[in-house]
Amino acid sequence: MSASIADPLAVNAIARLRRRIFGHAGFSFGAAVLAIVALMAILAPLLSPWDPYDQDLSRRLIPPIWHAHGTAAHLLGTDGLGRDYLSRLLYGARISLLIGLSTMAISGLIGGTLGVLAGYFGGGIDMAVSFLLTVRLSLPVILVALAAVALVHGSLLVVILVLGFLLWDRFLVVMRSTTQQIRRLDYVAAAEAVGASTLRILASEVLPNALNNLIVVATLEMANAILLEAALSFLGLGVQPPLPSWGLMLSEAKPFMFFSPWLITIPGIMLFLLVLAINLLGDGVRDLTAPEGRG
Amino acid sequence: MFTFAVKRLALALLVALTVSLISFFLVRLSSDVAAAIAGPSATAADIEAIRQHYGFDRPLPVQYLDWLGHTLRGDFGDSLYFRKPVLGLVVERMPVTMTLGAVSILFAIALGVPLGVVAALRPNSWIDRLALAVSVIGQAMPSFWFGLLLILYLGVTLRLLPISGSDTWRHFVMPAITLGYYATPAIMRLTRSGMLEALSADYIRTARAKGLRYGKVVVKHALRNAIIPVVALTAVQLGFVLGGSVVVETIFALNGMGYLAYQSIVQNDFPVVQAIVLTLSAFYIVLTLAADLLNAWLDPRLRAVSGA
Amino acid sequence: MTALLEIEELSVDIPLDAGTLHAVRDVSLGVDRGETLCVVGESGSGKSLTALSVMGLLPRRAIRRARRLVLLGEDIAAASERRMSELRGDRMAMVFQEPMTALNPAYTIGNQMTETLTRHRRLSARAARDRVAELLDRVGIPAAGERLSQYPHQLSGGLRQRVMIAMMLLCDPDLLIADEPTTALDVTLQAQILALLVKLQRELGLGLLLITHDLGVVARVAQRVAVMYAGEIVETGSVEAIFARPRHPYTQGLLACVPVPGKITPGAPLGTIPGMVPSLIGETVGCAFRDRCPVAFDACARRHPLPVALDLTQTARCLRLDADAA
Repeated sequence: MSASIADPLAVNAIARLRRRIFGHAGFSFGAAVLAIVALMAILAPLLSPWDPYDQDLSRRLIPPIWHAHGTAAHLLGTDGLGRDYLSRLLYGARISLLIGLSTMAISGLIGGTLGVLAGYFGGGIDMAVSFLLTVRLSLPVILVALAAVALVHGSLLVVILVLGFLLWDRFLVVMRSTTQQIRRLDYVAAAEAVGASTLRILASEVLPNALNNLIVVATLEMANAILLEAALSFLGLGVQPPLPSWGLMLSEAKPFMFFSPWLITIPGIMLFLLVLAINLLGDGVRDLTAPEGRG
Repeated sequence: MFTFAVKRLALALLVALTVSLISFFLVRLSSDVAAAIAGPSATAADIEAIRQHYGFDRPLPVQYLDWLGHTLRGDFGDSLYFRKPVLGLVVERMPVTMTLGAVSILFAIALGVPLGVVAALRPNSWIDRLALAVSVIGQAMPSFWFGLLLILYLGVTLRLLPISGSDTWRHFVMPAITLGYYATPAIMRLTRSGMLEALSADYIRTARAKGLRYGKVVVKHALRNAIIPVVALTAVQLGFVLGGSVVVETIFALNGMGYLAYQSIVQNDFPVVQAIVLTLSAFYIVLTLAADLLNAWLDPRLRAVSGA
Repeated sequence: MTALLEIEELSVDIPLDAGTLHAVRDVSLGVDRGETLCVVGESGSGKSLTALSVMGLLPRRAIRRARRLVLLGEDIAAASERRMSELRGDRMAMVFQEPMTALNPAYTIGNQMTETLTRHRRLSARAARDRVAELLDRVGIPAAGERLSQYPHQLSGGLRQRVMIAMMLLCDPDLLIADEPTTALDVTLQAQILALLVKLQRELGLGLLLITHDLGVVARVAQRVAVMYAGEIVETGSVEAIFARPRHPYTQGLLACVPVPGKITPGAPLGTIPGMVPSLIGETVGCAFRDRCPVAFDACARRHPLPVALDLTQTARCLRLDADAA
């Protein structure tokens, strides 16, 4: 420990890096908000004053605390079935993050694998994969997702799978182009000549170079998935009640929205902030890992 | 140019065929069509009779080709819910969705292009930051929430615009803003980056050296070159807008294809759903084809390379 | 002869992260009607920025200051952008180095040429076309009529440069600035374009300000020469004087680098000027050339040399000359 800290150059470099990261407003904001939402999700059982599924029709539509009729018992008021809005919001964070991360993982796996295969082997495989991409891009995603979910009846798992199997296109594009670039480099040819296994080359060369592009695309797709799930649930074809998906909360709030506008403002703002944070985080990663920022 | 167009067209047709395949098999394989047609109160015998009547007992590839033949002739079958030909239903609703799509894209262009141009003319100024904010907000805003907010504030609180139906032009304003706003960021960003690149080009310096007025330099010389990729992008964005019509039309109860699609999905009226998916896909394919051809035609250098 | 262009103590500063770059430092020069002045110097000497300063085409963050900047008796240092755009293309024009990218690929040659005329003159479409054809002919482009409907990518580099020259002369300007007009062309084309410029200058009575790094070009075209180094003019004089009796060590070094047939011994090493151009960021103390100068002495590090008039036509900035004159 003492040796590395004593090295002035290393200390300087770390300090500079830290300054850059925290100086980047978008990245800092995005990371902060995302951290807050993650905490909301993880600590939901601890932070929620009520059970999110607990209905009490005698306490319906109580406004949030900043309204005249608000109470401290329900900081964000209650919904049409008397459920505490704050609690539902906290548990809703779990759903959004879960959907975002799992969909991103699945579509990343599908798109990434296809992209690497296409980029590395080229030729017929590349043509087939590119054709697959074109077909996928010709599908109206919302409509197909809606129809697919409806066919097998909506649930959290179904939404994750359907979206995961639809949103892989950008992953494919990124991994394909990165793999193609790496492929052409001399040392890859050298490695092949020596007989290094394809898998090894891919793991040691392609992946690290694609990493920052991959992160940017991953954040984009995560945000996309969260928005799509919200839309699906809003239309009644995503997560099913009584789960507190923010999209579902918005849909359930519609009948009351003219007299209890907070019911749509609050989940909407949460969705907006979460997606904004993820987008800014992705932009920040892209800016910070741009060629000038490297080593 | 000609060979390029032909090749692109062939690819487009192949893609359309594949989409139709997916659409067909998805429905056939995931639910019992005969049972759906027969209805909830049918007996096993009824279902079997329907199965034979419609030919659902034949091998799938045969069914597909038969279905394809019908589809190409415009026969999408009958709606299970409305008991009318699907084609008629869809055609009836198309003008509303097309109008919505067109107005939305026009809104996106009217907002995105000027913002992008001005942002490029004054990089890092307040207007550049404003454009960036518009872009960032537009990408993060859930469109259905935006629609609800517009209804709440413009429709109810301020009573400026009607909140449902599709009778007058006013009915299209809020839906168009909702949909158009989602397409704006991409258009604005591409215009801005294209303009930044164009403005730093040598021929701009030449134009200024000739003493041309600034406005003319910006519009005639810079924008003309910067806008090329934006045209293609607009075609693609129009596709997305048409797809997003499902959500927006439903919120605003606009009687278009999107709303019909939603209703049909909820009612398990899959002939209609299939038809709309195919129609929208066809539009996407045509739009991307148009975008590629436009790109090739507008860029004089590409035209030179492809031998026009 | 009336002075066409008068520049007195022009400086251009460019603010950078690392400090202020003093790219052009107190440059004074003048161009008369009907004469050719060559500004010669290596890249980074500030010669292009000087030309852009005159035209008012400096990059936005550059800061221009001048005691006097006068074109045809009009103060252009204080002129509005609108006035400058009226003058550009009409009274003064500029031809740039890279003909391949100087024309807009989206419009025809005819379109790009006539728009200059439309901007500055009221001509009918027919009259404009005739004028364009006349000028294309004058610069030696055959089949002018066909060229009008062609796009830039259909023309070779040499042809494009001719088009550029023609385009800039459409309104009969008094001053033509040419910034390394032949550097991007091959040697045979160079000779042709230079000959063309000389011819045009004679025929039209232009004042020609030609910027170059190539002494060969200077020998061919110039009547007077200004040598620039590190943002300053270090020597001016008639072309004969500069070539026969260069007084500034830099000019002498430049000439020594150029092999003249008949005057060099085969096998002898070519002259070089050792070292590199100093950084112009921040303040420069003393003479900017001293680190590379064969005859520098200790005062050169402290005092900044001012221009010394050597005779009626030649001046140079060198403390040695001060000393000699003293």
